[in-house]
Amino acid sequence: MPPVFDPARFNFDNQSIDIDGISTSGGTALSGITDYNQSDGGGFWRAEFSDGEIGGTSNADREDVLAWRSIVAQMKRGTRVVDVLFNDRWHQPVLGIQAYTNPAPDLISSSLFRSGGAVGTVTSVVNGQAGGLRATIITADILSERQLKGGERFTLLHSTWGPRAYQIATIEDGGLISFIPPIRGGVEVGDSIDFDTIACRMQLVSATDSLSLGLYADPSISFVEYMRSPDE
Amino acid sequence: MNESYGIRIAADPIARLWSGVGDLLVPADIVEDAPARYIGGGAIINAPDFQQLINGTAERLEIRVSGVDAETVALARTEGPSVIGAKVHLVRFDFDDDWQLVDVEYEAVFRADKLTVSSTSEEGGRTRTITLSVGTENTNRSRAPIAFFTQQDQQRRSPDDLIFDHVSGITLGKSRRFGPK
Repeated sequence: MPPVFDPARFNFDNQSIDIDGISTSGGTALSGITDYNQSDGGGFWRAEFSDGEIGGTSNADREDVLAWRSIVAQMKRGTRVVDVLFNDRWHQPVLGIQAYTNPAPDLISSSLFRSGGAVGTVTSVVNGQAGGLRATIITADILSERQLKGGERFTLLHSTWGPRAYQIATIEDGGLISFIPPIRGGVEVGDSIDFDTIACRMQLVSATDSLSLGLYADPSISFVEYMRSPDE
Repeated sequence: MNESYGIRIAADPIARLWSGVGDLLVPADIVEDAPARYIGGGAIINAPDFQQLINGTAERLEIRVSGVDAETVALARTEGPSVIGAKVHLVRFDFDDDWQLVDVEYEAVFRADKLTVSSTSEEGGRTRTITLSVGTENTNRSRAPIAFFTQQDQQRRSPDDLIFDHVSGITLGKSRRFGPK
Protein backbone atom coordinates (compact mmCIF):
# COMPACT_ATOMS: atom_id res chain seq x y z
CA MET A 1 0.00 0.00 0.00
CA PRO A 2 1.35 3.44 -0.86
CA PRO A 3 1.79 5.90 1.98
CA VAL A 4 -1.04 8.34 2.72
CA PHE A 5 -0.36 12.08 2.72
CA ASP A 6 -2.81 13.91 4.95
CA PRO A 7 -2.47 17.68 4.44
CA ALA A 8 -4.58 18.42 7.53
CA ARG A 9 -1.66 17.40 9.64
CA PHE A 10 0.71 20.07 8.36
CA ASN A 11 -1.45 23.23 8.54
CA PHE A 12 -0.91 24.52 5.04
CA ASP A 13 -1.86 28.16 4.57
CA ASN A 14 -2.45 27.72 0.89
CA GLN A 15 -3.67 24.70 -0.88
CA SER A 16 -4.89 24.24 -4.37
CA ILE A 17 -6.36 20.95 -5.45
CA ASP A 18 -7.81 21.05 -8.90
CA ILE A 19 -8.06 19.43 -12.25
CA ASP A 20 -5.37 20.62 -14.56
CA GLY A 21 -5.16 20.27 -18.29
CA ILE A 22 -3.03 20.78 -21.33
CA SER A 23 -4.53 22.56 -24.27
CA THR A 24 -3.76 23.06 -27.89
CA SER A 25 -4.50 26.49 -29.24
CA GLY A 26 -5.31 27.51 -32.74
CA GLY A 27 -3.66 30.88 -32.52
CA THR A 28 -5.27 34.20 -31.87
CA ALA A 29 -7.85 35.30 -34.40
CA LEU A 30 -8.34 38.84 -35.68
CA SER A 31 -11.18 39.31 -33.24
CA GLY A 32 -8.79 38.70 -30.39
CA ILE A 33 -10.12 35.40 -29.23
CA THR A 34 -8.07 32.25 -29.10
CA ASP A 35 -9.52 28.86 -29.82
CA TYR A 36 -8.53 26.05 -27.54
CA ASN A 37 -9.07 22.41 -27.32
CA GLN A 38 -7.85 20.14 -24.63
CA SER A 39 -5.23 17.60 -25.59
CA ASP A 40 -4.68 15.73 -22.35
CA GLY A 41 -7.51 13.24 -22.76
CA GLY A 42 -9.73 14.75 -20.07
CA GLY A 43 -7.60 16.39 -17.41
CA PHE A 44 -5.71 15.23 -14.39
CA TRP A 45 -5.43 16.20 -10.74
CA ARG A 46 -2.84 18.54 -9.43
CA ALA A 47 -2.46 19.35 -5.74
CA GLU A 48 -0.23 22.09 -4.42
CA PHE A 49 0.30 22.84 -0.78
CA SER A 50 2.40 25.69 0.46
CA ASP A 51 3.33 27.53 3.63
CA GLY A 52 2.71 24.70 6.02
CA GLU A 53 3.36 25.33 9.64
CA ILE A 54 4.90 22.52 11.53
CA GLY A 55 7.48 22.13 14.22
CA GLY A 56 7.62 23.35 17.77
CA THR A 57 8.35 22.19 21.23
CA SER A 58 5.25 20.25 22.17
CA ASN A 59 4.87 16.54 21.75
CA ALA A 60 2.22 16.99 19.07
CA ASP A 61 4.54 19.28 17.10
CA ARG A 62 7.28 16.72 17.38
CA GLU A 63 5.02 14.05 15.98
CA ASP A 64 3.98 16.25 13.08
CA VAL A 65 7.60 16.76 12.15
CA LEU A 66 8.31 13.07 12.40
CA ALA A 67 5.23 12.33 10.30
CA TRP A 68 6.50 14.74 7.63
CA ARG A 69 9.92 13.16 7.57
CA SER A 70 8.43 9.71 7.45
CA ILE A 71 6.19 10.47 4.49
CA VAL A 72 9.04 12.17 2.67
CA ALA A 73 11.21 9.12 3.23
CA GLN A 74 8.46 6.85 1.97
CA MET A 75 8.02 8.82 -1.22
CA LYS A 76 11.67 8.25 -2.06
CA ARG A 77 12.15 11.54 -3.87
CA GLY A 78 9.07 11.10 -5.99
CA THR A 79 9.78 7.68 -7.40
CA ARG A 80 6.99 6.13 -5.35
CA VAL A 81 3.33 7.00 -5.46
CA VAL A 82 1.37 8.42 -2.54
CA ASP A 83 -2.34 8.61 -1.81
CA VAL A 84 -3.16 12.27 -1.15
CA LEU A 85 -6.23 13.08 0.95
CA PHE A 86 -8.22 16.12 -0.18
CA ASN A 87 -9.93 16.86 3.17
CA ASP A 88 -12.72 19.09 1.95
CA ARG A 89 -15.61 17.75 3.91
CA TRP A 90 -17.62 20.95 3.94
CA HIS A 91 -18.20 20.70 0.23
CA GLN A 92 -19.24 17.09 0.35
CA PRO A 93 -22.83 15.82 0.64
CA VAL A 94 -22.07 14.22 3.97
CA LEU A 95 -24.39 12.62 6.51
CA GLY A 96 -24.77 13.72 10.11
CA ILE A 97 -22.49 13.40 13.06
CA GLN A 98 -20.94 10.12 14.08
CA ALA A 99 -18.73 9.35 17.05
CA TYR A 100 -15.50 7.50 16.65
CA THR A 101 -12.64 6.57 18.92
CA ASN A 102 -9.90 9.14 19.24
CA PRO A 103 -6.87 7.49 17.67
CA ALA A 104 -4.61 9.44 20.03
CA PRO A 105 -6.59 9.74 23.27
CA ASP A 106 -5.85 12.84 25.28
CA LEU A 107 -7.05 14.16 28.63
CA ILE A 108 -10.13 15.79 27.16
CA SER A 109 -11.75 13.08 25.22
CA SER A 110 -11.40 9.51 24.18
CA SER A 111 -13.90 9.89 21.38
CA LEU A 112 -14.20 12.35 18.53
CA PHE A 113 -17.00 13.21 16.14
CA ARG A 114 -17.11 13.42 12.43
CA SER A 115 -19.59 13.25 9.60
CA GLY A 116 -20.77 9.80 8.75
CA GLY A 117 -20.03 10.18 5.08
CA ALA A 118 -22.31 9.65 2.17
CA VAL A 119 -22.35 6.22 0.71
CA GLY A 120 -23.15 5.42 -2.87
CA THR A 121 -23.25 2.51 -5.23
CA VAL A 122 -22.88 2.67 -8.98
CA THR A 123 -26.12 1.52 -10.59
CA SER A 124 -25.17 1.97 -14.22
CA VAL A 125 -22.30 3.13 -16.36
CA VAL A 126 -23.70 5.21 -19.17
CA ASN A 127 -20.73 5.73 -21.46
CA GLY A 128 -17.10 4.71 -21.65
CA GLN A 129 -15.14 1.89 -23.16
CA ALA A 130 -14.88 -1.79 -22.21
CA GLY A 131 -15.10 -2.27 -18.45
CA GLY A 132 -16.19 1.31 -17.86
CA LEU A 133 -12.78 2.65 -18.81
CA ARG A 134 -12.91 6.39 -19.57
CA ALA A 135 -16.57 6.70 -18.60
CA THR A 136 -17.71 10.19 -17.68
CA ILE A 137 -21.38 9.58 -16.94
CA ILE A 138 -22.77 7.17 -14.38
CA THR A 139 -25.90 6.76 -12.33
CA ALA A 140 -25.70 5.89 -8.68
CA ASP A 141 -27.70 5.17 -5.57
CA ILE A 142 -26.56 7.66 -2.98
CA LEU A 143 -27.57 7.93 0.62
CA SER A 144 -26.56 11.34 1.82
CA GLU A 145 -27.70 14.21 3.94
CA ARG A 146 -27.48 16.83 1.28
CA GLN A 147 -28.56 16.57 -2.27
CA LEU A 148 -25.92 16.42 -4.95
CA LYS A 149 -25.66 19.73 -6.77
CA GLY A 150 -22.60 19.29 -8.91
CA GLY A 151 -19.11 20.28 -7.84
CA GLU A 152 -18.81 17.55 -5.24
CA ARG A 153 -15.94 15.15 -5.42
CA PHE A 154 -15.90 11.44 -4.96
CA THR A 155 -13.43 8.61 -4.93
CA LEU A 156 -13.60 5.30 -6.70
CA LEU A 157 -11.22 2.62 -5.62
CA HIS A 158 -9.88 0.53 -8.47
CA SER A 159 -8.09 -2.72 -7.82
CA THR A 160 -4.91 -1.73 -9.62
CA TRP A 161 -5.21 2.02 -10.25
CA GLY A 162 -5.94 2.63 -6.57
CA PRO A 163 -8.10 5.46 -5.27
CA ARG A 164 -8.86 8.11 -7.88
CA ALA A 165 -10.77 11.31 -7.34
CA TYR A 166 -13.46 12.66 -9.66
CA GLN A 167 -15.32 15.93 -9.65
CA ILE A 168 -19.00 16.04 -10.48
CA ALA A 169 -19.88 18.46 -13.25
CA THR A 170 -23.64 18.17 -13.49
CA ILE A 171 -26.52 16.18 -12.10
CA GLU A 172 -29.02 15.71 -14.87
CA ASP A 173 -32.54 14.46 -15.09
CA GLY A 174 -32.78 10.77 -14.48
CA GLY A 175 -29.92 10.90 -12.01
CA LEU A 176 -27.17 11.03 -14.61
CA ILE A 177 -24.00 12.12 -12.89
CA SER A 178 -21.41 13.57 -15.23
CA PHE A 179 -17.93 14.20 -13.98
CA ILE A 180 -14.33 14.78 -14.95
CA PRO A 181 -11.75 13.38 -15.44
CA PRO A 182 -12.66 10.15 -17.27
CA ILE A 183 -12.55 6.99 -15.19
CA ARG A 184 -9.11 5.52 -14.72
CA GLY A 185 -8.88 1.77 -15.02
CA GLY A 186 -12.61 1.09 -15.11
CA VAL A 187 -15.82 1.04 -13.13
CA GLU A 188 -18.54 -1.56 -12.75
CA VAL A 189 -22.11 -1.63 -11.57
CA GLY A 190 -22.03 -2.25 -7.83
CA ASP A 191 -18.76 -0.43 -7.16
CA SER A 192 -19.04 1.80 -4.15
CA ILE A 193 -18.63 5.55 -4.38
CA ASP A 194 -16.93 7.29 -1.51
CA PHE A 195 -17.91 10.89 -0.78
CA ASP A 196 -16.28 10.89 2.63
CA THR A 197 -12.62 10.21 2.17
CA ILE A 198 -11.54 11.88 -1.04
CA ALA A 199 -8.17 10.59 -2.06
CA CYS A 200 -6.19 10.37 -5.25
CA ARG A 201 -3.08 8.42 -6.13
CA MET A 202 -0.41 10.96 -6.96
CA GLN A 203 3.29 11.48 -7.17
CA LEU A 204 5.61 14.37 -6.41
CA VAL A 205 5.83 16.87 -9.24
CA SER A 206 9.59 16.81 -9.20
CA ALA A 207 12.34 15.23 -7.23
CA THR A 208 13.61 18.61 -6.11
CA ASP A 209 10.49 19.87 -4.36
CA SER A 210 11.29 21.72 -1.19
CA LEU A 211 11.43 19.21 1.60
CA SER A 212 13.64 21.02 4.04
CA LEU A 213 12.69 21.06 7.66
CA GLY A 214 14.21 22.29 10.88
CA LEU A 215 12.60 22.81 14.28
CA TYR A 216 10.14 25.22 12.70
CA ALA A 217 9.40 25.00 9.05
CA ASP A 218 6.95 26.09 6.43
CA PRO A 219 7.16 23.28 3.95
CA SER A 220 5.62 23.29 0.50
CA ILE A 221 4.89 20.30 -1.62
CA SER A 222 3.24 19.65 -4.97
CA PHE A 223 1.70 16.54 -6.38
CA VAL A 224 0.37 15.49 -9.74
CA GLU A 225 -1.88 12.55 -10.43
CA TYR A 226 0.00 9.35 -11.09
CA MET A 227 -0.58 8.65 -14.75
CA ARG A 228 1.18 5.46 -15.67
CA SER A 229 -0.66 2.20 -16.10
CA PRO A 230 -0.08 0.23 -12.91
CA ASP A 231 0.31 -3.05 -14.78
CA GLU A 232 3.21 -1.94 -16.92
CA MET B 1 -14.60 18.68 -29.67
CA ASN B 2 -11.38 17.72 -28.01
CA GLU B 3 -8.39 15.96 -29.38
CA SER B 4 -5.30 14.17 -28.24
CA TYR B 5 -2.42 12.75 -30.16
CA GLY B 6 -0.58 9.49 -30.09
CA ILE B 7 2.25 7.62 -31.66
CA ARG B 8 2.12 4.05 -32.89
CA ILE B 9 5.44 2.40 -33.58
CA ALA B 10 5.13 -0.92 -35.38
CA ALA B 11 8.07 -2.53 -33.63
CA ASP B 12 7.75 -6.00 -32.19
CA PRO B 13 5.73 -5.81 -30.02
CA ILE B 14 3.91 -2.70 -31.22
CA ALA B 15 4.38 0.35 -29.02
CA ARG B 16 1.40 2.66 -28.66
CA LEU B 17 1.65 5.86 -26.66
CA TRP B 18 -0.84 8.67 -26.34
CA SER B 19 -0.79 12.04 -24.69
CA GLY B 20 -3.59 11.54 -22.19
CA VAL B 21 -3.80 9.82 -18.84
CA GLY B 22 -4.48 6.12 -18.53
CA ASP B 23 -5.38 3.55 -21.12
CA LEU B 24 -7.23 4.29 -24.32
CA LEU B 25 -8.81 1.48 -26.30
CA VAL B 26 -9.17 1.93 -30.03
CA PRO B 27 -11.30 -0.33 -32.18
CA ALA B 28 -9.95 -2.34 -35.09
CA ASP B 29 -9.48 -0.20 -38.19
CA ILE B 30 -7.32 0.09 -41.26
CA VAL B 31 -4.17 -0.01 -39.17
CA GLU B 32 -5.12 -2.20 -36.24
CA ASP B 33 -6.21 -5.78 -36.90
CA ALA B 34 -7.84 -6.02 -33.51
CA PRO B 35 -8.85 -3.57 -30.80
CA ALA B 36 -5.70 -2.12 -29.34
CA ARG B 37 -4.64 -0.30 -26.23
CA TYR B 38 -2.73 2.95 -26.17
CA ILE B 39 -0.77 3.60 -23.02
CA GLY B 40 -0.99 7.08 -21.57
CA GLY B 41 0.90 8.77 -18.84
CA GLY B 42 2.87 11.58 -20.31
CA ALA B 43 5.71 9.45 -21.61
CA ILE B 44 5.73 11.50 -24.78
CA ILE B 45 7.81 14.59 -24.18
CA ASN B 46 7.60 16.13 -27.55
CA ALA B 47 5.75 15.25 -30.69
CA PRO B 48 6.85 17.36 -33.59
CA ASP B 49 4.95 19.40 -36.09
CA PHE B 50 4.73 17.76 -39.42
CA GLN B 51 3.55 18.74 -42.84
CA GLN B 52 0.24 17.41 -43.87
CA LEU B 53 0.53 17.95 -47.56
CA ILE B 54 0.06 16.09 -50.72
CA ASN B 55 3.30 16.35 -52.62
CA GLY B 56 4.97 17.74 -49.52
CA THR B 57 8.71 17.65 -49.26
CA ALA B 58 10.54 14.82 -47.56
CA GLU B 59 10.79 15.40 -43.86
CA ARG B 60 12.74 14.18 -40.93
CA LEU B 61 11.22 14.50 -37.50
CA GLU B 62 12.27 13.65 -34.03
CA ILE B 63 9.94 12.21 -31.45
CA ARG B 64 11.17 12.43 -27.92
CA VAL B 65 9.94 10.20 -25.13
CA SER B 66 10.84 9.81 -21.50
CA GLY B 67 13.91 7.68 -21.00
CA VAL B 68 12.96 6.26 -17.63
CA ASP B 69 9.44 5.07 -18.29
CA ALA B 70 9.42 1.26 -18.32
CA GLU B 71 7.56 1.08 -21.61
CA THR B 72 9.90 3.35 -23.52
CA VAL B 73 13.06 1.92 -22.01
CA ALA B 74 11.96 -1.45 -23.36
CA LEU B 75 11.48 0.21 -26.71
CA ALA B 76 15.06 1.41 -26.70
CA ARG B 77 16.76 -1.62 -25.20
CA THR B 78 15.09 -4.89 -26.00
CA GLU B 79 13.05 -3.87 -28.99
CA GLY B 80 15.64 -1.52 -30.39
CA PRO B 81 16.58 -3.60 -33.46
CA SER B 82 12.98 -4.09 -34.54
CA VAL B 83 12.29 -0.36 -34.30
CA ILE B 84 14.59 0.44 -37.20
CA GLY B 85 12.57 0.66 -40.36
CA ALA B 86 9.30 0.21 -38.48
CA LYS B 87 6.26 2.10 -39.59
CA VAL B 88 5.43 5.03 -37.35
CA HIS B 89 1.96 6.48 -37.33
CA LEU B 90 1.18 9.85 -35.85
CA VAL B 91 -2.36 9.51 -34.62
CA ARG B 92 -4.98 12.03 -33.69
CA PHE B 93 -7.83 11.03 -31.41
CA ASP B 94 -11.02 13.04 -31.52
CA PHE B 95 -13.25 13.10 -28.46
CA ASP B 96 -16.73 14.44 -27.93
CA ASP B 97 -17.60 16.81 -25.10
CA ASP B 98 -17.89 13.91 -22.67
CA TRP B 99 -14.42 12.73 -23.60
CA GLN B 100 -15.65 9.71 -25.46
CA LEU B 101 -13.57 8.60 -28.40
CA VAL B 102 -15.34 9.39 -31.65
CA ASP B 103 -12.63 9.14 -34.24
CA VAL B 104 -9.12 7.85 -34.75
CA GLU B 105 -7.28 9.63 -37.51
CA TYR B 106 -3.90 8.48 -38.77
CA GLU B 107 -2.51 11.79 -39.81
CA ALA B 108 0.85 10.78 -41.13
CA VAL B 109 2.98 7.71 -41.67
CA PHE B 110 6.71 7.73 -41.25
CA ARG B 111 9.51 5.22 -41.19
CA ALA B 112 11.61 4.91 -38.06
CA ASP B 113 15.23 5.49 -38.90
CA LYS B 114 17.33 5.57 -35.84
CA LEU B 115 16.87 5.49 -32.13
CA THR B 116 19.17 7.47 -29.90
CA VAL B 117 19.32 7.61 -26.16
CA SER B 118 20.60 10.85 -24.80
CA SER B 119 21.62 11.22 -21.21
CA THR B 120 22.74 14.59 -20.00
CA SER B 121 23.94 15.73 -16.64
CA GLU B 122 21.99 18.52 -15.04
CA GLU B 123 21.94 20.22 -11.73
CA GLY B 124 20.51 17.76 -9.29
CA GLY B 125 20.45 14.77 -11.56
CA ARG B 126 20.50 13.47 -15.07
CA THR B 127 17.97 13.70 -17.84
CA ARG B 128 17.59 10.75 -20.12
CA THR B 129 15.44 10.90 -23.17
CA ILE B 130 14.94 8.55 -26.05
CA THR B 131 14.74 10.17 -29.43
CA LEU B 132 13.27 8.36 -32.37
CA SER B 133 14.20 9.88 -35.66
CA VAL B 134 11.59 9.25 -38.28
CA GLY B 135 11.44 10.18 -41.91
CA THR B 136 9.06 9.94 -44.79
CA GLU B 137 9.67 7.16 -47.30
CA ASN B 138 11.73 9.43 -49.51
CA THR B 139 13.85 10.99 -46.77
CA ASN B 140 17.38 9.67 -47.16
CA ARG B 141 20.62 9.88 -45.34
CA SER B 142 22.76 11.48 -48.00
CA ARG B 143 25.37 13.90 -46.72
CA ALA B 144 24.58 17.53 -46.57
CA PRO B 145 26.39 19.49 -49.27
CA ILE B 146 29.54 21.29 -48.14
CA ALA B 147 28.53 24.71 -47.05
CA PHE B 148 31.87 26.32 -46.22
CA PHE B 149 35.31 25.95 -47.74
CA THR B 150 38.14 26.38 -45.33
CA GLN B 151 41.82 26.21 -45.81
CA GLN B 152 42.15 23.50 -43.18
CA ASP B 153 39.69 21.27 -44.99
CA GLN B 154 41.40 21.82 -48.28
CA GLN B 155 44.86 21.16 -46.83
CA ARG B 156 43.61 17.86 -45.53
CA ARG B 157 42.32 16.93 -48.94
CA SER B 158 45.36 18.13 -50.93
CA PRO B 159 48.17 19.59 -48.83
CA ASP B 160 49.78 21.62 -51.60
CA ASP B 161 46.65 23.40 -52.79
CA LEU B 162 46.62 27.05 -51.76
CA ILE B 163 43.30 28.05 -53.25
CA PHE B 164 41.61 28.72 -49.92
CA ASP B 165 44.63 30.31 -48.26
CA HIS B 166 42.87 33.57 -47.53
CA VAL B 167 39.49 32.17 -46.56
CA SER B 168 40.21 32.49 -42.88
CA GLY B 169 40.65 36.19 -43.40
CA ILE B 170 37.15 36.54 -44.63
CA THR B 171 34.52 37.11 -42.04
CA LEU B 172 30.82 37.25 -42.51
CA GLY B 173 29.69 40.49 -44.05
CA LYS B 174 33.13 41.52 -45.22
CA SER B 175 33.56 42.27 -48.89
CA ARG B 176 36.87 41.65 -50.65
CA ARG B 177 37.88 43.71 -53.58
CA PHE B 178 39.32 41.91 -56.52
CA GLY B 179 41.44 43.16 -59.37
CA PRO B 180 44.25 45.75 -59.35
CA LYS B 181 44.44 48.11 -56.43
